[in-house]
Amino acid sequence: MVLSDVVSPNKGKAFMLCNEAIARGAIEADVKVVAFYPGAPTSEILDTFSEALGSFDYQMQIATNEKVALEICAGASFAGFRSLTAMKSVGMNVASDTLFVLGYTGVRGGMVIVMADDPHAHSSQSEQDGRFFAPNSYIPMLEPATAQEAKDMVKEAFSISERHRVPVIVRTVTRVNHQSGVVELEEIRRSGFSRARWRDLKEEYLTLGEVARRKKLRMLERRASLEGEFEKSAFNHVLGGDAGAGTGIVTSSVAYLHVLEALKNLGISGKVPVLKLGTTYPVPRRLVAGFLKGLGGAVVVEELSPYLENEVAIIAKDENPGLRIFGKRSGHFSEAWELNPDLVAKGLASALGVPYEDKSGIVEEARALKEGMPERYPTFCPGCPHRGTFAALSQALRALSASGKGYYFANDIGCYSMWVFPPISNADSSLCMVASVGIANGLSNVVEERVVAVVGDSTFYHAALPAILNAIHNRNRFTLLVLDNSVTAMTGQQPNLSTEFTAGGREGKRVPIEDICRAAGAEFVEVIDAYQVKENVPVIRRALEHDGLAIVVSRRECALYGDRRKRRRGEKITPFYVDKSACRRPYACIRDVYCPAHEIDGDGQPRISPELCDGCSVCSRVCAFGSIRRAETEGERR
Amino acid sequence: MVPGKTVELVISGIGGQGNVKAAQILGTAAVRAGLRVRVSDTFGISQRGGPVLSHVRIGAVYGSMVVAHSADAVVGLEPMEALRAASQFLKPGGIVIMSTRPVYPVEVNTGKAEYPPLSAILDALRIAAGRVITLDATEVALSSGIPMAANVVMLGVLAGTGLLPLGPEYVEQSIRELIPRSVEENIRAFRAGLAIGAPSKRDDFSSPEKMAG
Repeated sequence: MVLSDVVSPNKGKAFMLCNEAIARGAIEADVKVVAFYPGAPTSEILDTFSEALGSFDYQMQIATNEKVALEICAGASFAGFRSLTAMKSVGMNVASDTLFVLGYTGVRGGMVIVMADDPHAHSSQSEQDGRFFAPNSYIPMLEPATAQEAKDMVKEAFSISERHRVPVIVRTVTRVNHQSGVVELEEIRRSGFSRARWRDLKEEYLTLGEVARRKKLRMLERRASLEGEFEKSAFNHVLGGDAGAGTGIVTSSVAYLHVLEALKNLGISGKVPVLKLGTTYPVPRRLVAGFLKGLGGAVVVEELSPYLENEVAIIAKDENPGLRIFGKRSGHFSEAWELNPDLVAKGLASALGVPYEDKSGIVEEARALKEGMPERYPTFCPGCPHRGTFAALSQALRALSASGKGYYFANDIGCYSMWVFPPISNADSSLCMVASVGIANGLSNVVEERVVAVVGDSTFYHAALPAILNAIHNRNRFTLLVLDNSVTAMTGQQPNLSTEFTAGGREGKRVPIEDICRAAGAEFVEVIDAYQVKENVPVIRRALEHDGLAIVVSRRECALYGDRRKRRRGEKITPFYVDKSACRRPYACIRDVYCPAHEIDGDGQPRISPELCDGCSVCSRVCAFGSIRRAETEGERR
Repeated sequence: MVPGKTVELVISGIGGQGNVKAAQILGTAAVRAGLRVRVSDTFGISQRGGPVLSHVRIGAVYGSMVVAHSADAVVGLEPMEALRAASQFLKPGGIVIMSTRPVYPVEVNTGKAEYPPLSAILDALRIAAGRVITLDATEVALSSGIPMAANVVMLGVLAGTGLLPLGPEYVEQSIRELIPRSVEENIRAFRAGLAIGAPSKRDDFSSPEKMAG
């Protein structure tokens, strides 16, 4: 990111990531309060606001979870301030309890919720289609296709929100968030911030029983007026089409770009009419009906569920009953995985009856070789503290198994998730944020085996407390490992309650995990240093034997975060090397604590790459022969 | 350099190699040169070690994703990832620029799978590609005084081929803008790449001896 582009007060053009453009759009719209819990593919929105915080007077909080972030924004909006939050698809599941109510209570200051779905589950546990949140909560939704459109929509969303007194969802997908392009910058004219006087604004934001019934009627009226407004929205448009074209295309989001690309590659650009919808809830029905009128067929191109396809089918039933609809149900497109220009070209060609040239044969040789290539699984970074924690846990679990007792291991969402991949591949379950602890509460009472659950620091603050308190109160017996690496590492090392920092590098109060657990009445709470593998094994073994909830907090800062801090302090990293004369099988460094800095050398023995080694020492601690040592001299670093 | 031409590029590598930064540098350079550009990055859940793919479309009108078998060049920061990307995106006769230094996946290092021989990767690439340039980009970066700049070296090679519709000075300008530390070393690394990419009869720069000759 070029920060100067994001904060430049002037008009101009800049090359920006969509997530940066979203932040820029909100800053141009004079947003006053932003709050986030990080989650791919939205994390760079948080990062951009955090970096630009020094240049503007907006308030920013990195919240403990998405629900709190949404509520921070709602609170600000009740007092008349413009607010924005962004969250990933599954984050909305956490926040949705409040989202649904905001549909009833309404808001005052413009309130924008960026919600990013992740078709293809690039960085998520599911491919959930968040679009259904909009009709379900009666909250309007816009869907951009490009970085420029995302910026424009965010700005307009603030106005829509204020006109209709309701939050507005700007729904993106990974391929929108993680695309960069040329973005038009408009002037930034910020108004100053001063506290509002609630006694002057005072109006009620409540809903319950009779009040809810009344407000439901208002929601229906609001939906109708939003639909009327969206009929004329510039975010919807019809493109091209020959007179008398028999079939048209209805699309939205990134699929719109794939459609344009595909039509070009099929040689039919401009010949097939395309209705691009930017306002996808409420769907402007008259606009869609007008488009469908006189068509023999409509191809609906969208990712995941047949959301627009359903709308088109409902509208066509009255307006054009004979319309043939090509989409998910007809089998032209799949509900599984993301689309790309080729999949769209193939589906369009089949629906429109034009030839599609499959060019995959031209690289047959390369494809054949590719099929046999090993997968590249994500793994812990060099220096990652989880490697050390899991090395000790593995030893403790092996001892447990050797004594005839088995175990159930509940993994969770975070960098430690990667323990499910080779070479370790150890997990009985991994669901969603903090489900491990809830699952352990249930399983520990119904299976014979010991139950071990893991969470990270950010996950702990996010939602672990209810499940931990439940375990303490009900005297449930399991082991909980809290892997505290100081930051929300997986999404880009954002600060959380485990550090003394918060957004923009400002000071925040650290909330120690062990203090919370002890205060809540947990009897077994131990804090270990993730790198001290040998010393940690007996602690974890005691935890596994403990008759009750045993909590082990394994602490050591994320290596990527720690390295940045070391560089700032001018500290050098001293890598380790393998003294091959002392090195013997079974190469525990490779087998037990696999690290990307290790490789098998030409002579068949392990070697440590000095460029990759983080100097964490964990591999040296599992080597029984003492053959891994710190490379103090230049010669040892070869 | 052909002004006004659409150029489709795919950069492939592994988390931590600077894949996304390289795409960002190209994108920024294109904008500074007054060209349209779209970039799309794909990275998975890991901060390091997983495959990363960036699409760069200079002059592109529509989307940010390169259509299968239409990339003018595939820039591979790692051999296996170069092949993976080329088999999906390279157009017949396109250019492949590949750093020959492999990063072994977990299963190779633990002896559960084999890394394909470099010669097999090259044979497969040469069938599809019009030109395959190989080099050890880390080695070149190292001799420029900055081992981490393999991505910048690769950008230099790409610019050196003459494929980009913008002059190398734009890329240098954007390197200065986007890489705050060790700017001069990075520029040196870029220029070393530039020389390697220049059209010549010999495209194998994978060992220092050959480079010297």
